[in-house]
Amino acid sequence: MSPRILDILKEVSTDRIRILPCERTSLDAYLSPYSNAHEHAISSSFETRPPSSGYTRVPSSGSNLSILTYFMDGSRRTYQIADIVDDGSRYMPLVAGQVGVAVLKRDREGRLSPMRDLCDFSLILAFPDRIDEQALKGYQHDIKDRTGMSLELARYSTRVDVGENLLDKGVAAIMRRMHDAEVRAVERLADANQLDGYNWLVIDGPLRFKEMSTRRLDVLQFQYVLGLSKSFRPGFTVGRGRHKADIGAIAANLGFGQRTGTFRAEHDHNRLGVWYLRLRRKWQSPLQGTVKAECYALAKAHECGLDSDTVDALSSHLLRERNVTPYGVDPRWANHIYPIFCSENYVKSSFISDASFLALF
Amino acid sequence: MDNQIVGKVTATERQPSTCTTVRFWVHRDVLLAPFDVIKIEHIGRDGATTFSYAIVQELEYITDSVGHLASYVSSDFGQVETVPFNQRIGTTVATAEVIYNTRGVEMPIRDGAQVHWADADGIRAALGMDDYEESIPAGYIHTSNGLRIPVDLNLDYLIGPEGAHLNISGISGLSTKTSYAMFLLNALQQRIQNDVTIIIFNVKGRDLLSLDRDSEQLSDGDRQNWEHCGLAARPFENVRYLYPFDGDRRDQGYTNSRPVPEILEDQIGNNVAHNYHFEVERDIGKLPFLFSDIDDPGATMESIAHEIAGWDDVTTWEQLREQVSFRTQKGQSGDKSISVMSWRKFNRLLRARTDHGVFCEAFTYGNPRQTQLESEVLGLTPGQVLVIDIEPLPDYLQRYVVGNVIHTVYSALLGDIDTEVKFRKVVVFADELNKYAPRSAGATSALTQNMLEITERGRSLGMVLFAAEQFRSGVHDRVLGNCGTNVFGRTSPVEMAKCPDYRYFPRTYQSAATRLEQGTLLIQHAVYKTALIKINFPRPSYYQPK
Repeated sequence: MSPRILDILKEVSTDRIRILPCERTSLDAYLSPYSNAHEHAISSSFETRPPSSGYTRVPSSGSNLSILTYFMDGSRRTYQIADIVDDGSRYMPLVAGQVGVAVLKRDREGRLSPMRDLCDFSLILAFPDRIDEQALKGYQHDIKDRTGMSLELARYSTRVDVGENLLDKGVAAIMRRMHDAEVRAVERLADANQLDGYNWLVIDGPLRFKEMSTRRLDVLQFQYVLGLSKSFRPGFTVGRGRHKADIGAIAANLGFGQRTGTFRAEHDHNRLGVWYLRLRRKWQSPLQGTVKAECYALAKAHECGLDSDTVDALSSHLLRERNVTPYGVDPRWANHIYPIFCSENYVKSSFISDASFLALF
Repeated sequence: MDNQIVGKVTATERQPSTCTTVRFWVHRDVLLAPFDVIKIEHIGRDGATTFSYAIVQELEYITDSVGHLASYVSSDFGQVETVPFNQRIGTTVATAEVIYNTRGVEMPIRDGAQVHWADADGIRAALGMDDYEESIPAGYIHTSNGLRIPVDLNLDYLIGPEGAHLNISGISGLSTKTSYAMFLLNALQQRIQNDVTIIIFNVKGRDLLSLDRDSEQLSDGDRQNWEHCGLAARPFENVRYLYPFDGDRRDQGYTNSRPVPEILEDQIGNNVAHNYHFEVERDIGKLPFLFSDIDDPGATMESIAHEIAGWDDVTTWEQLREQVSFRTQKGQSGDKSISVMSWRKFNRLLRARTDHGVFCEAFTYGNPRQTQLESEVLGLTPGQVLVIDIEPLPDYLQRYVVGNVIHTVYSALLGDIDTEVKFRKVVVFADELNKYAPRSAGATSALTQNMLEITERGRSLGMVLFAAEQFRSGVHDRVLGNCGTNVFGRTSPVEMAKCPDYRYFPRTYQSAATRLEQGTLLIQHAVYKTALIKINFPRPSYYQPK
């Protein structure tokens, strides 16, 4: 039977560091599911032919083949597994996590299958940055040697500003690995020329990609990538001047198959076009069935806004994604598209169970 | 093809693998069917790989839809013309009964184990057919991957001594029950001709009245099917036919049987067709079989029959009727334990039921082919087939003939008859078993008692019953319970609900039993390692008049 990872760490760590047991808890409830900080700042209309009334009916796609071919979702599970006392002065959490990124491809018959080469699953242990890189490498080697497990080790900053805590920082370090895995998957798809105007990649959530841990983000690789958010803050204000309105108010007026005009958003020096689309007829709440879609505005679009025909085409194909639904399985079913739901399930079903994962430590 | 992976085992919290049950999801391009046998990789001792075999019992297609409403919602809330881009994730999940492991491992099969098509040798081993000392072809299995695998019955369990008796049930009109019985009897004759004597009762039409003539309907494919079973597509050999005697039908061969006239002429010319009758001196002791359908709670009829059996001075049936009639008059001296009323009832029945040409004296009408049934039966030899036509007779006479013959054979094998017989093992085929051993009869009727005797003790003596009936629910439980081999043809859902024997069928098998095609049967054999397999068998190789 392999030794537990914490026992190995206790053995190999220096006298300066003490690893103490704690109540092992899941940290996934720690982060709010969709915080305001993730909303891009949205301003003026940003497409080549903005709808005069502020919204427009999406034309029929007219084809039984979708241009939305690839679907990606990333997920993570994080846990506090121990505490570290450094020099007897700092008391810091040791955070462990599983991260997974899955890319599914849809064939012409509408069947989904995972692209295994692009799927990435890792186990990560996040240490405070008061433990140096060299020590981490030693830990990694010892763990591999004694258990045969390839565990990624990360560091989180122990500098805490007002309103921050170390647990969030540990979780963020693990999230960063997931972010990098997502970017790598997009880059590999783009490098293999699998993305084009007839084969788009849909990513679950907003396009909030940042520079990678080790290198710059090449946003040109995201030309045929669509971000799709199931939820958004209804009180979020879009537009300017007398066109200024809360997105909840705009979306509530959208009819089935209608979209808003495209708004410009900036994020991390990149420009995006964002619009809202009603996938389903009004049901229980006015926002149920309305999703937020966004694309990077690249090349000519960077200045002129997104091409309205492209936005219409993407919207019409998104509209066709409303069937089939995970009704009854996922409370967000009305805002979910099925391939993303399947990607999510694929990632989550590939994770080790909580009990098994914690038993490693 | 055999090594193609057809799916992988799935064991879940709610539906785990067990020692006897395994579930697997099926590759989307694979077509499986209930009764297919598949091979699954399994663990073994010391890290060895073993293989388990399982028979598919149920196939279910599941999706991630939590309910029908989700499917309704997924079609734009009931818009039937909606064509979604997405195909819901779904798979076929098969439930199979584990029947065999190559190294006797009984551990439940693990999740993720690969499932393959089984090959012919594997299937035969899995069903337990690879270690029979002597076997009889039982037909062949068609598998979904295109194999046609011959299957056998263990001879020791078909005609003794380990087990015996065969029952076939199913609705009439498909010619399947009788055809299958004839196939097995033909196989017995081809494989062990010198050991077995066969007696067949013909109860319907002319089907069994030309067993030794070549079929005119066999195609090359039919012949290949026979060869595939290891048999030649040929009719029965060494067959004798007995038709009921009727002195009034001199111009029709002294019988009211309805064989094809040309065939009857041939049979007469070959001296293999005779007319049977009953002589009072030899058959008076078997009168209880004539009244086996009469409700006789006080056993008075039986008592009278016993008393009559001792009347040595009676030489003709008419004398018997007169003597019985005499007892119906008041003021009789002698034993008063049987009332005059009972004698009168017996008299009425005796007169009505012996008013037939078969109750006569030898050579009354100068017919040289007239023969006494008991002596015909006692004169049988190994390898011989005796067909007794009872089709023209009323029900009570059919029972009398069947009871008479069975009693004669059984008594002879027991050594209760002075005549020395040559036969050692006798297989009797009787259709409409519900007439001879009805479920409602209890054990009071002489014929039912005889049937129980045969099925419970006959196998050790060498007497074996092959029987058929339309409704299993109508046959005596103990008779069925003693059959080592049970064959099920197409049946109705009503019969399935009535007959407890169908309750152990898995749901899919029950459904399959209502849809079986002609020439397809479900078979349960004492030494098979699974309860039921589905088989096909070749078309009859003897002539069947239209």
